[in-house]
Amino acid sequence: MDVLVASHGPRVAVAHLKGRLDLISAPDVRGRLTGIVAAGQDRLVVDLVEVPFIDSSGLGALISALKAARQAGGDLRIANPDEQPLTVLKLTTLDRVLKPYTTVEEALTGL
Amino acid sequence: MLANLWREVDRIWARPPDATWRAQFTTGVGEIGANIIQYAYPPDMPGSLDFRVRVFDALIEACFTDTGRAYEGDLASGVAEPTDPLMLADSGRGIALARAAVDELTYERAPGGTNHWCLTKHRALAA
Repeated sequence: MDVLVASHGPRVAVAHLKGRLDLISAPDVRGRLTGIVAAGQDRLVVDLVEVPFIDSSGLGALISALKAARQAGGDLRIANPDEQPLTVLKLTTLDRVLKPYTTVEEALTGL
Repeated sequence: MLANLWREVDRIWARPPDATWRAQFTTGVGEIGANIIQYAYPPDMPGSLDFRVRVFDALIEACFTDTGRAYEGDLASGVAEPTDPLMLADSGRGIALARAAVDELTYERAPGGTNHWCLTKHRALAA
């Protein structure tokens, strides 16, 4: 899975994921996202516009990064989820803590 | 004869699933497939995974057969997610997610040492 990171200031970054976020790609994505937080950008937007599928392992990677960001005093938000990732968030009720934002710009507002 | 066959094939698509149905079905199949790959067959134990889908008028059924280790978890286990994000678990949601995504999830360990998983999801009646 490709992870492209764009800096939006000293503490803010947007991570654009491309591909399936599943059992295979989750460990790498977890490492990349928590690495960004550890390096100081603890306010993170994860852009899911090019992620057609997320499984429970992929969801776990996002949760690990969310916890790392919160522990550092920041936050993690997700933007542009497609139908299947949105379905996973709803079925697990984790849309309450990983609230889906419609656009990256909306997610960045007030972050 | 052939006309009858084509009529049957066309009937498969007479009730096309909508995007949400498809996302739910895909979610369930993905979870069980990943669960088998991760737990039935650990990295040092390669093996086979048979996947079959049957399409009926009223439902679609997807079944996996593998010869790996037996599943010893609880199919009925649920996940009550805490509201504090820091208390969230990093893993352990797969089976509950699969169960929530379809209408029926079954698991059977056959005497010969094979595992059978089946997911069933009903199709909405045509409008």
